[in-house]
Amino acid sequence: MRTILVVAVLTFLSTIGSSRAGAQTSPAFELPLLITSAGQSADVTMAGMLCKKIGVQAKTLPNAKGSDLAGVKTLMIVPGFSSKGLGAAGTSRDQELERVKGLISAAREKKVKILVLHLGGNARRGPQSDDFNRMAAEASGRMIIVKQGDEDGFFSAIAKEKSIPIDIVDKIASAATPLSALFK
Amino acid sequence: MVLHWIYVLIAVLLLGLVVWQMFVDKRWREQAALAMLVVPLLLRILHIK
Amino acid sequence: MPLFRIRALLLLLAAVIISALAAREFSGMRTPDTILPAPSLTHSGLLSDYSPSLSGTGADTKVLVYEGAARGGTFLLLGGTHPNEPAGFMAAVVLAENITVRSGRVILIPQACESGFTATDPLEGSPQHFTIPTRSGERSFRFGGRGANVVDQWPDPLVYLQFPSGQQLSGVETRNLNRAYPGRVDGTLTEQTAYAIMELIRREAVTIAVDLHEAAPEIPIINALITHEKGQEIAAAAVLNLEFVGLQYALELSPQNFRGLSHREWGDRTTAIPFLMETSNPIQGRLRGRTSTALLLDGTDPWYRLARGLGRMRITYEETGEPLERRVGRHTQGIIALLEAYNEAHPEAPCVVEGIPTYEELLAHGVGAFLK
Repeated sequence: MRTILVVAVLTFLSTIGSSRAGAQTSPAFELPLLITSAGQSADVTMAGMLCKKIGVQAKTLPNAKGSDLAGVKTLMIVPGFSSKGLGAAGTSRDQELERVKGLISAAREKKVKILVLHLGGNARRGPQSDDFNRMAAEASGRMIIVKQGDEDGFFSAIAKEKSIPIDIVDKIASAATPLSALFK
Repeated sequence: MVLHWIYVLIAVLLLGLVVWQMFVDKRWREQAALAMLVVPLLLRILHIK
Repeated sequence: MPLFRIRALLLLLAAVIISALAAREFSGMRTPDTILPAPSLTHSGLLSDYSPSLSGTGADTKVLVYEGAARGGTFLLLGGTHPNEPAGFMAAVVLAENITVRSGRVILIPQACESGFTATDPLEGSPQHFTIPTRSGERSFRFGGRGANVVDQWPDPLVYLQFPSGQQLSGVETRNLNRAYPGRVDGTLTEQTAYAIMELIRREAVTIAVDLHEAAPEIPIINALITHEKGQEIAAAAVLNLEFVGLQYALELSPQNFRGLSHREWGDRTTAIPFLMETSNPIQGRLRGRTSTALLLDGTDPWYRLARGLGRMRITYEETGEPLERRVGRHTQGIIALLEAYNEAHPEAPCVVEGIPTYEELLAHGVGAFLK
């Protein structure tokens, strides 16, 4: 009962809180979906939970590499730097940047579509995070961004420059609607 | 625990030296400075601060 | 007697008098804070009930237990791990004085580092007490230091070797309870405290455990929920729950190679699912102006306001400041969200607690409205 209530509220909230920018038709996104982090913030767990709640099957691998893309049609990158996350993963910031670069390159080679989901708001912006944010955003075919993370127009500017469709949503829960629509 | 009481003993010895020097040194500035040292040493020996 | 010897005697007498006056001030912090538990309290005890080595020491502290009529999960809440983080301690006091448990059990340790409440940190200019107006008049609570009182555990080593990981930390961290887990029964006083808390978690079969903290506004992990990997789904659900009430929390994973912390060791060594929450506390910040009880309670500081306006560094500081009610409210709302998420994930053993004030209620009425 509670799950039905939560999904109903998620759907309602997303109808009052989203805006769209970008003139291009969105590319089709297909399953299987692989979710990974860029910067090792725990937002990747939030993304997995969001997909689970809206019934989109996904595998979450915070440290995904090119070899993990076998059979994958869509790669969702959840960018945001976390020193605790890097510590938990036993990696350094430079190693993480290399991993993400290599993963994006492999995705391009294998023609895997890239979707960026930025959930962390202000906390996942700034000098430490923006290298990851920019790398992921510029490589993406679509972005869904919680608006607190785009108050300075960082993601909107990239979307405009690269003609990437972008959904700016009010809250993490509001990301459910555009996300759900992409896989229908 | 043993180390704790060794440090307390060091503080007691230090307090003794400070008080002794107060009564040996004739210069009032040095006596005043030594008197100021008495306060934290005494509070630490008595386990107050 | 020569004049200089008379002078020495007079100066020594002055030093003793000053010591006595100072001693009266410092000893005042040894008087325990008054906590008035809600009528639903089942029983109370001391941490030494779980490890007798703590008995009679400055580290022994109250443990409050509230049992519901129906069986369910056991929720442990720690406040005051760092006594200079008042929102954590006050959130635990607010729960202690208000809750009713319907199912399961709630165990509260409002002042986990009791020794730390008996002294402030040197060179900080911290107040020793703060008062909150309540229905029954003003109530005073202590504001302590980050770690155990140095008088209770002295000397600090040059380098603290964390047991059993061997991790090397600054010597002063030897008195930091949140670096001492799992502790040991024959270790330092702080390690003995950590050991006792681990024993409590094991013996009481705690299922969900929360440690409440604060940090300076310029610290990156602020308004955050830190989770052990066991609790990732519960934490993610809690963050979503909190969004529904307008509160944003950063979700952080506990690093596996940073040992000694509650969210790491409780999770690795017991069956409890641990979480830690942080709020923004200007009185701990390095940019702050005058340190005072006003800063502690109102959380407004002109230098943080200036820094926020300049926008040259990341700080978590609202334009209206970070008053105690907002910080306590974030903690209580976070607890509500975590319990909801936990109960949804574990319907076979829920922990249902009523009477926890919400964020909105605390903002509207203040902390004092929820104290007796």
